[in-house]
Amino acid sequence: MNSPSLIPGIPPLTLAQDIGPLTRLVFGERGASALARASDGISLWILGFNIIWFVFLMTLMFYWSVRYRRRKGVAAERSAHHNTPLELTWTIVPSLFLGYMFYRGLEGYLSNIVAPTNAEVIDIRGIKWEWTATYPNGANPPERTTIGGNTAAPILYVPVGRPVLFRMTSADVLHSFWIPDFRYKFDVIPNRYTNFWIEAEEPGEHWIFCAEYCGDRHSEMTALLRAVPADEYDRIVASWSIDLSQPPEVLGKIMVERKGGCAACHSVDGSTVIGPTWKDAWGNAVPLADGSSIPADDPQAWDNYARESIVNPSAKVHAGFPPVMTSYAGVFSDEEIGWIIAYIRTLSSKGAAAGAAEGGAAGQGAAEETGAGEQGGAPDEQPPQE
Amino acid sequence: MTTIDRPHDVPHGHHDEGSYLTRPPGGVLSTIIHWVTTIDHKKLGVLYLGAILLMFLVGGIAALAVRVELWEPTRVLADGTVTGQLFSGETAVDGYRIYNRIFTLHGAVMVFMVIVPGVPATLGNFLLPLMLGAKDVAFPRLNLLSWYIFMFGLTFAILALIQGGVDTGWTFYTPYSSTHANNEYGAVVLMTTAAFILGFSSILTGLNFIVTIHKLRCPGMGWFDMPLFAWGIYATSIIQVLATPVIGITLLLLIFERTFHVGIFDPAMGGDPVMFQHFFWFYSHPVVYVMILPGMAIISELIAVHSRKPIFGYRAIAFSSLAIAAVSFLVWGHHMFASMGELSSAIFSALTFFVAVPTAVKVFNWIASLYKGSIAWNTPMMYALAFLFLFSIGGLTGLPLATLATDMHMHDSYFVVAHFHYVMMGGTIIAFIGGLHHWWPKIFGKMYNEWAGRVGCILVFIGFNVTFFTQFFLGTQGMPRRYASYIDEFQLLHQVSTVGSFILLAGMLTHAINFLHSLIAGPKAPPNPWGGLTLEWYADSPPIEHNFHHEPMLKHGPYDYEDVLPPHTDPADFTFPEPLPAGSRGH
Repeated sequence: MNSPSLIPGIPPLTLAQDIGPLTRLVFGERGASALARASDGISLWILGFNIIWFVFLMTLMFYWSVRYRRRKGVAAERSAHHNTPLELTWTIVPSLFLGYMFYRGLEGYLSNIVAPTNAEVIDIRGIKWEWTATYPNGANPPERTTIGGNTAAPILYVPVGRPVLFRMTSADVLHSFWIPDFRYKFDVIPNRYTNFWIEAEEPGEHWIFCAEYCGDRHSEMTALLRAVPADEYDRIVASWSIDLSQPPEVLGKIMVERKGGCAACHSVDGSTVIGPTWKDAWGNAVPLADGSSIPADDPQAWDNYARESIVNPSAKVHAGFPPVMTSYAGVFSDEEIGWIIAYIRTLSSKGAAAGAAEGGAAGQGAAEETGAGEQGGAPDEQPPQE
Repeated sequence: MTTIDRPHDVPHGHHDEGSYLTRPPGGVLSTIIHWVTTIDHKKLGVLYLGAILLMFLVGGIAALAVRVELWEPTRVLADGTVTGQLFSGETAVDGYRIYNRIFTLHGAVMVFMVIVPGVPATLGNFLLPLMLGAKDVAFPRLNLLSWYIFMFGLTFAILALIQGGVDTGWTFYTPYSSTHANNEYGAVVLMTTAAFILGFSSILTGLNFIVTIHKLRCPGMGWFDMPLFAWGIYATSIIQVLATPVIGITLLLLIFERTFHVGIFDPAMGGDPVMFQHFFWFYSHPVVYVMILPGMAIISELIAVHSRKPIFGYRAIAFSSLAIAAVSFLVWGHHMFASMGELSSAIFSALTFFVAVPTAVKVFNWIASLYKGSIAWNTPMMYALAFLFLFSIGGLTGLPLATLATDMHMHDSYFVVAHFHYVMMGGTIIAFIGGLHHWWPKIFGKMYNEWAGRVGCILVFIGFNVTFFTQFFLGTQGMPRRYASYIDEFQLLHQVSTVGSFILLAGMLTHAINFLHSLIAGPKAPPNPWGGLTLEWYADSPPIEHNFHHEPMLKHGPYDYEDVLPPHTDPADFTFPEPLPAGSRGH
């Protein structure tokens, strides 16, 4: 399939877009969509243009440098110091090629910007240092895989043969969402949406890399794009909806794993990633950077500390850890924060000892709507526990 | 010699005072004071050269550290052991933090303290007055101030380093650089202050050179009788004066943002982080032409002298330098195709193709200059040929980056890293090294070892290509920039690149040793070892304090080999004597 034509009358690019070994050498994989392959067509055309000009110029340069090398007793012969027709030609002809290059580039680029009206929207959120996605039904993908050094890279499913629009925003600093196999990226910026669309042509897996430096774990802010047949996609995404009748700590674990991206900084096994581990955290004393501390064995104090740290992380920073956590204000409702704290509590030996009766944070006030599909209908309000 | 006695020549004494390098009477302390308070453009050029070569060493060590770290990807084993890290701490992230500071250091040092001041402050300072037949630049005391400001800026940078360095990338993008929590406040402010201060050195030098070229050309030297080196410096100086204030203000805004939380770049306060990129690149794009135009200026001289040929299309080279300077202000958005809207991106893409044309035309002119020349394959000429090879690759690989559809893939990948190293290092640094070899006899009065020079050139050329050509493929295959670690598939290409960086190191060390040896024990250099016709070659090697014994009066063009050298004479046997009588010049 060729790239679409921008100007009626100028035929679309018909040069070879997939020259097997050359494509593999340059790109590693052939483009995963029609637009990706069109982009490769332009790349390879430019490469061919470059090689031809370069070989021509260097041959001339080396040939003359050798042919006219300095010889004893031989002075340089006279030659013209300039030649207006030649100089005009070598200015105008390359300019024409460059103009064509610009045109094709603009055409291919605009095709990626203007999404089909039936594209389904996946909301992408970049947060240091993880990608989270929210699908049209409000669900977040649960599966994780290992990409390089990132053992918790989310798997984002897309349907084969259906266009998908990534509507992206950042929770903190600049990121960039790059899918190399689709030959496209766009920056992910706080406080606004940016977007681009893709359409997978066949089932396959593709890396997603963050491509705008964002700090310590920039090189591990990765994800996997998995294209599956459309009916399988529908089934999988539907299976992600959460049964809200499960206990709070189970719901909290789901929130953390699917929506929070917390594993980018907090481990549950005692190791340090960026921030304090959650293993044996709840209920134990927490020394703070300003010298004070959260007392041990005081559930309300610990729950308040956790809640505050989720929405305003720089208020109370655990001593010895860098103050780099991004705020989750607006991401989680008070109710969801309660679930998360319940989950963190289960990771501590002190959590079980304090009894199972207390089920959540000291959060008060109405639960906020976050994703419509997730709640499965009307919001479930839990009365304050205390 | 070209000494022409003019009727109103000012009498002066001390014909036998030696060169500008001759030690004044007194001890070591008085020599040091003499040097650090000098207003002589030649001594200032040498002072800058020492500082800049030192910073090149610092930036180069950082580069090698980056390449060694990337030999293996970092992995954490099941038992928690971290593998594959050169810099490691308890966790993998500790190592990443160090890596991020090192690549930022490499970029900031190389851009602000090596390549931007590079050629203008060293060779420009030393050669411009000599080439114009002048005693010094227009404002010698201002020149000394420029150097003081440069050294002052360097101290801030070194302080930032000691503080632990910055990890924002040399581009300081907001909100990462403006958010307190991300990195140490002090280091960011110190580093941006350093760049702010260094900017003033740049502006004052540019101002000085512009006035020097307008006002201090010797009698007989019209604009089109100047060496092309002067045209390149002129175009560079215009950009320096106009563009540098913008980065100064931008960095000041960043400092205010961090210190007073003004909110211009903070989205939470209604600010726009992308606006920082517009401000930043409005300077930083023209500055890449500040980097390359002097390099191109050198190449014109090297090719002309070592081919014994006028540069083909003198006026095209002169005017294309000015055209590049002008258009360079219009293309900054091509660094931001992945964060701007479609209309802006389309306009910037089109304008970027415009700036490519005068640049390409220069390459054609230089190659055409080789035709029917008498080409010496010495170190400076080999560097000139290397420049043409490497800069062509750099320029041509800019085309898919200017092209919107392809840039959306290649932006922020190793393809861009390879592209800019080809133009900045393969262009400017290669030209700089060639120029150093070419003018070394003039500056220091000593010859270097020619064979060592050639070996160094070959090692640098091979090492450079092995290091950076592989990075084009890393980029197109999907390797992002500024990654402290990577997926397994990229390891082989990274290892090849690292091997190349050590070959490059070997070449640089060869040159360093060659130059040091030349200073200590090199043979004395004649005034005109290469047979050049520009005025610096008529001065002594090294020149006397005020350059010429008598004010020169120009009688021939800078590249009039065909007219000055009698036919059928071996150039090796010929010492260029007095210039021809007036009226026998041809362009």
